[in-house]
Amino acid sequence: MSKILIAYASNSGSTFQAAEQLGRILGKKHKITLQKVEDVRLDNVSNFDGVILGTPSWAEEGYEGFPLPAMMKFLRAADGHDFSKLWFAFFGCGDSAYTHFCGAVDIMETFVSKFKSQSLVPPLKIDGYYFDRKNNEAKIESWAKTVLSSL
Amino acid sequence: MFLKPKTEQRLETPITCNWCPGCGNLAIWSAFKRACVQNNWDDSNTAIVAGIGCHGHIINFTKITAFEGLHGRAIPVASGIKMANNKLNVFVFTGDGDCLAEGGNHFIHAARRNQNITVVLHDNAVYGLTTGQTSPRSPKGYKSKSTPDGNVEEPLHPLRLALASGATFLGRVYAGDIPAVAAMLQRANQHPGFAVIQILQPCVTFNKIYTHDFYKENMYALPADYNAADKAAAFVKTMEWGKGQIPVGVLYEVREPTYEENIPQIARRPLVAKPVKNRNIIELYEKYS
Repeated sequence: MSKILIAYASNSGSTFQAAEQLGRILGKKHKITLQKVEDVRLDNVSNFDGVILGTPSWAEEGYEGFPLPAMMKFLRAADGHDFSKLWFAFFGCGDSAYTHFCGAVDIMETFVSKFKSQSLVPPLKIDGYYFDRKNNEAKIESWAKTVLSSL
Repeated sequence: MFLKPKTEQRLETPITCNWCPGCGNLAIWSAFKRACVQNNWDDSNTAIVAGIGCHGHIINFTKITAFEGLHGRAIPVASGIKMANNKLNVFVFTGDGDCLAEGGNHFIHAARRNQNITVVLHDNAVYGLTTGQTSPRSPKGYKSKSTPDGNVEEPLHPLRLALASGATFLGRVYAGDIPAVAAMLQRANQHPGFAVIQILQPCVTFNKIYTHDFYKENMYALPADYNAADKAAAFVKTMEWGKGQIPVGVLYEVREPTYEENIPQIARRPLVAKPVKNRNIIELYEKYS
């Protein structure tokens, strides 16, 4: 059994609910801690075997397709830390009608190298969570199973 | 046969929701469905009423007995439902324009009567459905299509207004915190009397001031030792608004006799449960015709 941290940033609740669903599925076989990213203590992160980060993509800091401020604050604070013993995985909610669909997920991924860590699985990009709930929940479940089979 | 929702998905209608991506209404809708499942609210014990505005779509997307009032008239419809069957959980979903402009009088007088209903005020501080005009909650100086040179009026503060009018439960919560909204809905519904929840609901398309980031940066939770039964303290809290000064939580809660408890005809048994007497009114017609 692995200890997994799921840390998320959310505005309208879609990323939060996706994080909850991941937690329910992964929690059947592993010990899950579900937290708002602003509540995560950096000195506690190394106590986990893996970290799953989720954020929607918004216009922030003058860029479209950017993580929410709370996630960026976490990533910047974590920059330079050695998390080489942990694996990371990323997911996010977005809207493919925008130019940088789930751009925030790509930005989170670029931080993996700075953490000296690795992505466990390819990221999950959720398109219009609320507008195609059934299919998106199926997509989240499928990704969660991929995470499980990779552990 | 009443619907007994066991999951939030079973409370959804076939209609695809059409709120903007990122809209606070999406989170309020999610929270309401969650609260329904957690509290076994269904068609047999709950009715919802919406006004006119973006918020009003909630009745189209939620499979539970629902009504839509004319603009500003959701509260009177809810009052009628409660009078007919005061055993029902009755929720009013209303916007700041709907509730405080067109429906301001109804809001005040329902609070004054302490009617046992819960008003869920989707406060996005604009008229979102009609593309972002200034509302009674828009801040002074707010520029929109209806006030291109800036709003010259001061905004209304709904919780202060409700408190002054006689409401006995005041809650405030940020839309994006789904568990907190669900818990507040439950607590407000459990309160006997007129309950108002001001939900800080960002309009991501038209309101560039009261954004998700704005609320996250400026909200603070009421401290554990805050006395929600202290009316004077509640008034002080309703005066707070601005940078780092937006209290969230239960600002006020006291137990007073409800309107329904004060009416002997329905105090013990709801009107709907009373048998209808068949009366011959032909004699009356003949007498007065």
